[in-house]
Amino acid sequence: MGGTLLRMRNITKNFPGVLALDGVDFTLTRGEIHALMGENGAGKSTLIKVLTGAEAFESGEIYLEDSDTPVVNDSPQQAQGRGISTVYQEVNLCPNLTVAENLFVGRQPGRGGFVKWSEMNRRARAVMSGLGIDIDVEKPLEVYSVAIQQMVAIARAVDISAKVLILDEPTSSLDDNEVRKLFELMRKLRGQGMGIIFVTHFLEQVYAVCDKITVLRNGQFVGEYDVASLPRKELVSKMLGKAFDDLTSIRGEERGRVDRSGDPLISARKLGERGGIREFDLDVYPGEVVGLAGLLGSGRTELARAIYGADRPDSGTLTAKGRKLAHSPLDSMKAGMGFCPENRKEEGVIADLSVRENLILAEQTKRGAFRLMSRAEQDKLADEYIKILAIKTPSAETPIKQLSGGNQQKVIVARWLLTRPDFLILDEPTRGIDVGTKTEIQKLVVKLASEGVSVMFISSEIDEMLRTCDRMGIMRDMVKVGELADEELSSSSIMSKIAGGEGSE
Amino acid sequence: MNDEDSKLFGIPADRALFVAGLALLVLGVGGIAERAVLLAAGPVLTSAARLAAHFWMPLVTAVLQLALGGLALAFRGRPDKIAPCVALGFFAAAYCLVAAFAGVASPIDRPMATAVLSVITWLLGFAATVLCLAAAIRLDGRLRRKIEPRVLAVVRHKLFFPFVCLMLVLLMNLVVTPDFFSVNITNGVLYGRVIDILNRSSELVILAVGMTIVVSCSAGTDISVGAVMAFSGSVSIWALGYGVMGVDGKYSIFSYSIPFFAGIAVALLVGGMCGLWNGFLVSKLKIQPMVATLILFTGGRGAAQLFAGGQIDRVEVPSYKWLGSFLPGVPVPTAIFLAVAVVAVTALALKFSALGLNIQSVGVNNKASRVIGLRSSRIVLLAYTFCGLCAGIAGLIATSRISAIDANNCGRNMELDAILAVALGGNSLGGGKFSLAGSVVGAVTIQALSTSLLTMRVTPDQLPVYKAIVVVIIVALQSPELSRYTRPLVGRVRAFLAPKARTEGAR
Amino acid sequence: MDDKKSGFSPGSLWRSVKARFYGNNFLLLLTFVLFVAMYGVGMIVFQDAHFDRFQVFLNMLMSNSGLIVIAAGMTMVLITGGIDISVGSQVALYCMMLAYMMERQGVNCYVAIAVVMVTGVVFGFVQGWLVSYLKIQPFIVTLAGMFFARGMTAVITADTISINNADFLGMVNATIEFPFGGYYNKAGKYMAPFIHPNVILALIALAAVYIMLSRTRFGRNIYAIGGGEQSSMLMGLNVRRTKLIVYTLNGFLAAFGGFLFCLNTAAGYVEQAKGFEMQAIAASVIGGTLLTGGVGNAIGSLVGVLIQATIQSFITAIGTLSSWWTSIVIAALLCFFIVLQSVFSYIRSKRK
Repeated sequence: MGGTLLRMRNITKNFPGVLALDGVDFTLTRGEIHALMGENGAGKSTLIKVLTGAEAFESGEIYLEDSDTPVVNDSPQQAQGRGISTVYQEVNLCPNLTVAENLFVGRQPGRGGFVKWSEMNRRARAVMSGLGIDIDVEKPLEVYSVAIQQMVAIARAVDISAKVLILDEPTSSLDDNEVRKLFELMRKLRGQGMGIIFVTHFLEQVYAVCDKITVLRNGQFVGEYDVASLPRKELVSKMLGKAFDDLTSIRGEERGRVDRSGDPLISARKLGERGGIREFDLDVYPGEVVGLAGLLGSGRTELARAIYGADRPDSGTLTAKGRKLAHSPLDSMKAGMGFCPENRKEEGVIADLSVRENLILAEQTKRGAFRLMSRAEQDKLADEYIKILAIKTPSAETPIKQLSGGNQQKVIVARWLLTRPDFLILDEPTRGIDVGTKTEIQKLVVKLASEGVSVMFISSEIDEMLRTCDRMGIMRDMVKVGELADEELSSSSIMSKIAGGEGSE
Repeated sequence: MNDEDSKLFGIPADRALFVAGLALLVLGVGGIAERAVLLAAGPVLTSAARLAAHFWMPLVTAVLQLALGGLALAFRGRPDKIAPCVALGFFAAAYCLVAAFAGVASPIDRPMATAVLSVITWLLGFAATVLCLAAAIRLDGRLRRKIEPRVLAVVRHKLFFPFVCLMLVLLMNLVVTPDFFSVNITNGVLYGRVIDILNRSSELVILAVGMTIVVSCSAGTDISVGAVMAFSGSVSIWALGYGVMGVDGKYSIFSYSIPFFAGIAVALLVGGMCGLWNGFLVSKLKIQPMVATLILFTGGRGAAQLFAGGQIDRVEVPSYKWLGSFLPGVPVPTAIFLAVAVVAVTALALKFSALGLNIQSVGVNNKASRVIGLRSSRIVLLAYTFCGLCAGIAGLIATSRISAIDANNCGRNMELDAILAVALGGNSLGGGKFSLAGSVVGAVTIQALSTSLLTMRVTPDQLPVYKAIVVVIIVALQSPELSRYTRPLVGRVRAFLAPKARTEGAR
Repeated sequence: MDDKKSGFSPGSLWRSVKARFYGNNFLLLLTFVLFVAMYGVGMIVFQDAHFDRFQVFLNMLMSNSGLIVIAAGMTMVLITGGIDISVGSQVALYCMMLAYMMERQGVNCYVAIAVVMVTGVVFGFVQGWLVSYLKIQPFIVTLAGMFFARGMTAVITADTISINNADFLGMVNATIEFPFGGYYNKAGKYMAPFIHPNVILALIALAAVYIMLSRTRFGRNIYAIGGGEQSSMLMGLNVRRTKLIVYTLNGFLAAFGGFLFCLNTAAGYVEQAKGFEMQAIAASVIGGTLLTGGVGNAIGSLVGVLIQATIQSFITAIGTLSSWWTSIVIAALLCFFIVLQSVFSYIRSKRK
């Protein structure tokens, strides 16, 4: 099957202060499942938004099929009209309507404003069985599992426009069985001549169903490859931007300095969440820096949250300093833990409150609502930590929402440092921050460790973790697949373990 | 001078000065002309005070405006000479204000149209003077650095908006009843319109305090407060007359069956439990606040009727009046004390504990609050319980005022008043940071508004119309969507006042 | 081929009925059974109050004809995920307008009705614009609307005005008799059961709303928006315009319901229809409408109205209980159904 369906050439897109796409190319041919991969901030979702018209772009061209005239989609509706449909991770359908209705929202068959139910149901049955999905189309969508709902969304997209189908992280909430069924559907559609863009971060799935892979990194086009001729390890290195050979780490001479002979500070046994992270064990020793390496979606955040109690785990126990913990943030805080969440906008920054209030809030909560910290103490601590972390703010009373992203992150980190934790979890603290601040934070982590504080440091930049960590847990597809410590730590060994697959464990 | 620095609201400052100066010239000439006409029309103004208020003072204002306008136009190209403009501007603005107050405080018999026209003219003159002043300050770098930060600090203060509203309402009252601010002592007790307003606003103040907390942490409103007032008052009276009330068709009691303080406690308990119920529905069952409080809104008065036996029960014990009117020997109405006490206790509790911070945190970002260990559902539960408690207190005051419980009318329409007070106080109905003082000022403002409307012969049943309009205006102003409609309008005004093609003024 | 039914064979009809009754419509079935049970019990218990007469049922319909229409409109608004608590006050306003125009200003009966209908549309339009275009919470907007309408009623006049307009009274007193189900009164005279035409009008309006909701594209769009506003927008629906039309339509129905209500009371006074909106909400909720939006049924609201009317009749028949018991019972019913809905949705979310 040949014939180009889609050619995107030299696409450039700027957001204020960030170059999201820098001359990116993308090609899709008929009858092909093409994976689009890249870490966070690589530009995957921006590229899709540009293609479907949800965002405008500054330069570059998009060509459809064999045409030589470039097109610009002004809205998702227009893209749909041209044959490009998207199915998102959160199924964007109406759970209260029936399957048939969902398939035909906005275009129900019938005359004069009336809906012809019989014809709608008949056509719905035809569409669904044509895709090999055998369900009762007259039942409300919400009685079906997420997997089926997604297939309905796909069916709607296919029925409306049958040329290019974009699947944006469709497998995140599916179990193995459902993923298999989804892949069957995808292969069927491929056989019918559709081009499918499969945005995902699950390595196994890419190798299971895709024909080609396009890798983006930091808004740039890294390359387009045939799945058959690209080994896993190479793919991982292309995504993370590391050459194959070892990088000397800064801490080479300090390897093995952590004393693991005593009792661990934190001990997790068989912690797991149904539908989330698989059961894992983890020990963290005093003064140790533990990193979690893995691709996006491999479960690093989920692991951290399970330990802290931000998401209540369904199984397992957590012990801190010998005491069993109750899996709640307050209990963890009282046991000496701190947690900087990955999504600082939604779960970290309390936008309308001042910098000072954001700084002292965790410590205040630890002390209890009725032991208010005096204003003098608050001011002193606020000034102290603003200085320590060099937070750029007009004053301590400025609402935190007026600070830049990097400085907001510093405030969140400072908030936990203020509580003098024994164990601090930092989940992607350097994301979206300027290089100078990144280095400051890494130096801070090392300093904390030298003072006896344990740190869990999660970052997508393996470099950063190599520079600071004593031990690394390796995650893949929601499972903790192994650990590497001290001398074993190197770029190459980490990436091998992440990639898994053909011979590297 | 930086390009941005010489702009006022996006218009080049010298252009603004030009416009203001022109307006002032026109108004000044017009003002003088009007006085001349008045003089020629003959001696209408008899007393010296009225003559001063309605002739001399406006005349001087007009002259000042004329002078200021002339200076502005003459000096707009010379930023170094602007200082006299500024000095005169301050003086003119202050004088204009005083003249306006004097003018409205001593009304003369004029047709409504003329009175409205003169108010509008005064407002325009004031606005032009202020604009001229602002533009002049902007142009003079030294003055700008000294004055602007101070002015901005005042205008941006969170109490500015409610305070201005209160002033406007008081002004309106002053227009209608010139002896508005007079206070005297009769029979050992304070009387006066102002005292009356403060007295009657007590229930609303107390309700507004509770409502503020609820709105702040849950972005929802408690519309059951009026019904809870009636319910708690009713149960309290039933308890006070237990065994006597309703027996043999008697619906008045002449002595208490349980101690007075026990009766008070009953009302507080009932209010608190109603609040607890609302809080439970919202925080544990995750029902929307409006919907959850709808239940008590519907059934609360019926339940009140139940305890009152379907009648208006009276309490003829003299001590029952204490809460609603005066404690023996105390000249200030008790209700004011209670309102002050509630506000004070709440403010102190917020100040000396982290509760205020926690409430705001939960209201601004529930998820982040949970990550730092706050138990948001417990906070929401407590907030609604507190609001119910406040409604209980307000119910006590309301029943004490009339020494009876009228389940149908007790606390009627107060839920809208409470929501309005919170919104008027500058608090966002979408939750987050709150200002208790703002809500208190808002509550007093609404009471003053009701009073002035009532004095203007609006009946109590008609009052809600005006309040509804005010609520809609305030909430519309708070709406983030509004800017979508106003931005093109503002853009067009700016383009009209400062076309890009022309280069004006010294640069 | 008639496109208003999905096939005429009883089998397919039953299948479509069964499909329609799945899930949340289970609540509707429950409600219907509840009504039948309650009414049945009433017929037995209150036999000596002649509860078993057909006329009693017809009386229920007649005295609640306004509520039936209002509840239908409320259901429509609730499905979009909004609410309109101003309808009670609107009814009072429209009754007062009718009374005032006909009695104090000598306006022709039909012109007065037309003016009232237009006012209703405008009222609904303004509320709808504030909700859908300025995105103000519907609760706040309609709360203000409620106070505005009630206040305007008092602005018109504080008096109670009885309507004596001949044309109007002609409509009030018109009856349609049934040829069956009558009874013999104490004097031995045969009393045929009758209804006023306002019942027919109310049922027609309800049927129109039902057909609109279940069979037109616009109606299905309302359900879609209620089920997921974001998703609907992504699927290309014009959410703002649809919501605006819904509120405008509700204003029209409020005016129409007010007119029917006035046919019952033939008077205008300030305290009229107090708590009416709560009855409408209760009727909708009891009838299976979810307060979170996306699910609702106009027929269910009719059953909800009937249940409330039955409770009212019980309380009147018992005689010793005062009328304010009604509001307590309705509040309790409302509470029960709200909590039930919340529990159901909790179960559903856990099942995922």
